[in-house]
Amino acid sequence: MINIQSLKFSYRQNRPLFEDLSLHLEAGHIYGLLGKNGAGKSTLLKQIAGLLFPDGGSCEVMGYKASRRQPAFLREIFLVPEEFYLPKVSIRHYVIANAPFYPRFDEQAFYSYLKEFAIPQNQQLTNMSYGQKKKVIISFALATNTKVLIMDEPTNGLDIPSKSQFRKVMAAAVTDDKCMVISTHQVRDLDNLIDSIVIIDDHKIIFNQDVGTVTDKLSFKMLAQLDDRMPVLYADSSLRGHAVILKNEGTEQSKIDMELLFNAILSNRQPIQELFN
Amino acid sequence: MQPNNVLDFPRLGYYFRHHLLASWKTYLLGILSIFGLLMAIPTLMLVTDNAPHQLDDVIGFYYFGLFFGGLLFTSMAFSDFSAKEKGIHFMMLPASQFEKFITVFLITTIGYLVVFHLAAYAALVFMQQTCIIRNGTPLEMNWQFAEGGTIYIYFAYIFLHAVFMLGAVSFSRLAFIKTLVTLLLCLLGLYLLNTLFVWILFGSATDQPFQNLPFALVGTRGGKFGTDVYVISEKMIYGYAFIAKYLLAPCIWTIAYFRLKDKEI
Repeated sequence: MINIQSLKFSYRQNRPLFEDLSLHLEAGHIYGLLGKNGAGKSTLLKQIAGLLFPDGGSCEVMGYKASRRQPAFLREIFLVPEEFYLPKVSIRHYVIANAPFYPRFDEQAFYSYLKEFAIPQNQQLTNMSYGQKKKVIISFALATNTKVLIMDEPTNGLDIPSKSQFRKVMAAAVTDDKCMVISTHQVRDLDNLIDSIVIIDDHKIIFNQDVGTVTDKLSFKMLAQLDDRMPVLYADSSLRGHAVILKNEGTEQSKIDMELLFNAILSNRQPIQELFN
Repeated sequence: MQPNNVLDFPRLGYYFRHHLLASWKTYLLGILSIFGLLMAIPTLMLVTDNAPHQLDDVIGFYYFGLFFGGLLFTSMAFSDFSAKEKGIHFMMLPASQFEKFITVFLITTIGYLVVFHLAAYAALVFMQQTCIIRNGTPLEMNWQFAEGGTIYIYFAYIFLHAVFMLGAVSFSRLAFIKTLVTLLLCLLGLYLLNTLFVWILFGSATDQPFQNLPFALVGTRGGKFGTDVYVISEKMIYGYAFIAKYLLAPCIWTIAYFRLKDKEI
């Protein structure tokens, strides 16, 4: 569904952000795009949305060249940016003005998402808090039923109950023909939501695996003491003990700790990558 | 069904509605300002006892409003790019770049001209009444719309509209000032280029080197009356005039459209 081949991009000459970046994302998944600050998560999402053009390589979404920004492409993709714009109108007028552009827009679903997020439906968008506005745009994005939905830091500005509401509505909205990409640096917000992890670092994609494969090959444990004989790939010590990633040598499945995995891949990339290759 | 990716009339209608719903307050304020400013002129004349006698006395206000208001409005046509989040919303809306461009184009050309001329007409009617009250006679109508040489003022307006439209797409912030400065620099550059060529071709024989008519006429010292004048052929004059009147503005609008298509955020 999203096919990026040998992407090259830089904001400034001689300072490449992406070099030979390739990525293939399929429908029916919620991808978590993780990376350090400045790694290029938002830039990659902009490339997918056609807001930035590649310096080299290609970026195709559903067979469309993203940079052409054709209406046939735009009506099948929705981007929820970190900093978004909502006009000074009521929710009803926002729907009247924007919904006709999306052929599968589901108004009933939109209002049910608003209800889920406890947003008053007759309020002016300008009179809302940042978090409330974010919930409106997320609800609208889901109601458009576009095949590709990309979100840049969607949980920023959401309070704790809203984050779990967000996970709930997102999980309910994903279908086999949709591809959702969520970029975040708050990996815990995406716990139990994403089914594939994409990590971007050092100008390219360094990790792209689904959660099932990760838990097949890695085991996440909390140990009271570290034992040198254990095949520990990464350990993070705290007062509670040692959170470790081990090579999963059996069939036992553990609950993935994305923060731990992210740190492990960034600090001890090679042995983990070898396991997946 | 695969939609038309360039122009789809129902989608153009949706985009028009979307644009007007988001901007109607700004446009209403602009319309009220134009009406208010144009009405302020006869009101001031009435209260200061300076009622004009003929239309020529006040036509300058009309031209000033047309050019300054129209070009300022045009330069704000793509103000969405001044804020990143607005720019993203603009770019991601599923309408073609042509539909987005043509909407703004129609609003800044036909839309502005209709509103401005309605306001100017209302001001004229009001001014007539002012003159009757103050002078006892109506305003002498010694100016005809777009007649004779005045038609070129409208050609100039169309050209400048195209330039400011290109500026609106190219400059994210302070588009009016930046376009004006760039335009003046371009004109100065062309003038200096012309002067350089005249200097190369005619050297010190040039009569007052900085006072020729660029790309059309050069005066040199000599001849029966102390000056020889070199003028380009009539064919070239008509060619220049045709380009200036009918080709220049459409070419610049086209460039502006492609600049919009290539815009990145």
